[in-house]
Amino acid sequence: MDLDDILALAADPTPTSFELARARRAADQILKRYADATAERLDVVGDVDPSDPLTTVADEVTRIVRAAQLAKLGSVTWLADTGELTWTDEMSLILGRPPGAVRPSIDALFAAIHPADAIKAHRAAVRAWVNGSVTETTCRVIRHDGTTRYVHGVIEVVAGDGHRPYGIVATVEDVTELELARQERDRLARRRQTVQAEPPHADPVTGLLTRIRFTDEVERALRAGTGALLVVATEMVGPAEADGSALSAAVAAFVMQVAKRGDLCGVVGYGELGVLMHDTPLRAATARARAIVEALRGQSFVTGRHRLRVDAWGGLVRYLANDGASSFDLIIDAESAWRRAKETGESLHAWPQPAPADERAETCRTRVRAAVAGNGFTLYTQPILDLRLNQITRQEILLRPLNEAGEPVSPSPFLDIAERVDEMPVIDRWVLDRTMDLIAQGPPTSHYQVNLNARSLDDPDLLGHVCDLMDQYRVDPRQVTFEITETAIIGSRVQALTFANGIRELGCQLALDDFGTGYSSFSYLRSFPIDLVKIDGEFIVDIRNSPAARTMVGSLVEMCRALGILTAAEYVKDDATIDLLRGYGVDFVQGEAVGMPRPIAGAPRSAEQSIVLELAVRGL
Amino acid sequence: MNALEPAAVHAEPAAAAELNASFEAFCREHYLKVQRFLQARCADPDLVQEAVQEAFVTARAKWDDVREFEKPLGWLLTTARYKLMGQLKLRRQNSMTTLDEVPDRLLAAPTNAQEARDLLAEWLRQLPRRQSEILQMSLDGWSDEEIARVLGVAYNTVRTYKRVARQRLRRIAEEAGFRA
Repeated sequence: MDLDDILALAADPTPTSFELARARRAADQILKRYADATAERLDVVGDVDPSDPLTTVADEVTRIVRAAQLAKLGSVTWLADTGELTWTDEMSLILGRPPGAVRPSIDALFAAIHPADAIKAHRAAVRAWVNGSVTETTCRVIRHDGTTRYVHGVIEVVAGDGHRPYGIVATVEDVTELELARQERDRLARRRQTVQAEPPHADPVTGLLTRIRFTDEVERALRAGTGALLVVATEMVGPAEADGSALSAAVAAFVMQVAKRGDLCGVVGYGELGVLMHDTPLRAATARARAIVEALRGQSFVTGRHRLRVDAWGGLVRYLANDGASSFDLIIDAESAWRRAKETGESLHAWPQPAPADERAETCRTRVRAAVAGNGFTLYTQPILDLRLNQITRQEILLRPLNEAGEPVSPSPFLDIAERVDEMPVIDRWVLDRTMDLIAQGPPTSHYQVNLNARSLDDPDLLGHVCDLMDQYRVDPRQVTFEITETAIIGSRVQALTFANGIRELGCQLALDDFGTGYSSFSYLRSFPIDLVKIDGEFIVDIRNSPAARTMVGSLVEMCRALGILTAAEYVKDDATIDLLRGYGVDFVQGEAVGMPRPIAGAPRSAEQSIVLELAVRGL
Repeated sequence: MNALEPAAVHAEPAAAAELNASFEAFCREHYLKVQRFLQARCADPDLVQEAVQEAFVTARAKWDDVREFEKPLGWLLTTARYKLMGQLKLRRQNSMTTLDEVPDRLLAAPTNAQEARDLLAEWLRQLPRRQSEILQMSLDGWSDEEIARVLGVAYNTVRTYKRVARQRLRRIAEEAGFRA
């Protein structure tokens, strides 16, 4: 069935019985209303034109202008032979001029039209006349009092005998309210498209809550009452080539099964799962925690061709509402508890309350210092593609902490802790030392990007230390870009600026990392000598499906270019994304599509392993 | 001004009854046509009904004259249209179909004339209002010259918009899944 069929069907003149009934009811109503009106001697005719529109003798101009008057619309008439322009009083009011105040003319009309719309309006009129047919246009007029209104004009060509065109009549209506409503609808539709749904809550590998979401949930529970937090740490017992992420997923599924329904499970760190037992007394929580750990130890998991077992330890800490500990503190305490269990050979260690703040800080500090002293880290490099040359010209140096088994793990949980207890400068110096050594051994044409933490910039000796290292290893400063985060600048603006200016004088470059999230502010781009902006991966991962991300990245790149700042995008996962970013004029990209982080020579474990780890903790 | 002459009604009851009867017949025959015509312009059924009723009540008051017109329905359409425009202006009502109101579902194929007419009315509302009025009248069998006079537009406007509106209507129908 197509339109013609529907038109043919609709053209059937016989009304349906339903239509007949409706018409009859309507006629009754009308007659009653008329009777009531006459009884009350009401005027039902008003200003209605009583003449027969089909037989009234009048030329087209007269008819159209009359119709506009009845509809309380303005009209403008232009006659070709005289070139004369006239308009009605209603039109004067639309233009915001008292009737008679301005002599109608083409110049006077265009003087009232908004300059930005004048060409559009003029074209609409010319097109109507040239084509001999109607056009419509919406434009703004600036009234005498300076206010702006939107008006809609229907521009018609009038013809006399023999259909010879002899002029133009425009019927004009003030549509400001309609136009504003339309613009608002458009805006809302655009907004619906561009506002993002909530970020994913679930960890892609395990399906459990991500670290961030889990921390949020713990925070909420902390405020609402008592309970206990369990952190279970697992270590794979089996061949090293087994699929770690498959195991993580299997372990997560198993823990969820054993945990009580209602307990929240989340990823806490690499090989660490959190189980939040809210509203549970310590004794019951301890029993459940022990059951989970024992069950894990007794279970064998099959992944691929491997049958694997895991070793597991549990750390439990009880919390009370308002006992002063944050969710982050609680997670650290539970982690310390499982370490204690492991040290003492227990399966579970439980603490009846969160640790005192200074004790917790000391524990963390000891852990960080022990890691630094024992070289508990390794460095990875990730290739960066220069889109101008389509060639890898840079490497980012990345830190990977090593776990007890000497395996590199995701840095974020560890660095979180180090940052809390203010031990980042120690770690940064460790990284700087190794990096300069690495650069000295590499090809002199390569460029390296090194991360520096916020707190390091507060160290007034850091600049001198960098100088010394470069001297010592004979590194050309032009080979190095330091990446700092916006939080770094917030720490101590003056100190950060001193460092920034200092290393640039040295010949190094400065990059602003994670731009666009957290404490982003455009003002840094103006007040800091930034050479490179790294757009946060959040805007890049999904850019192909997100009009909002595309708009933001496109504008950001344009702005940076105008400011003389290079741009880099991270988390680039495929070639199509690279093409898109190249189109926007992004200078550098890194991510899955270019190359994953790889251990530098001499690192303890294989690259494949690191990729698995990377995946396992992505989204932490 | 009182439109009715009560004295005349009493003096000639037979003529008045005849007037009433002829108006009632006219009303029943054309009420839905006028309503549909206004629906092409305005999505609010209450406003449309009010305008149609007012127009017919006025027609009843002037029936003595209007019945003598070549086509009384033409006058009625003109009058009802102005009534509606006056009300829209008064309420500053947004008579355009909003995005949310445009149905994106595939409508069931109409099975009788009334369903076909209702479906068309819905589609016509998605056209610019002058185009939908012109097309609606054209579908109802009015000549181009008559349409120009009833709506107070130029003859060649009718010819242009009739063509443009039909193309748009076809596109809307195809988008709704009705294609050959």
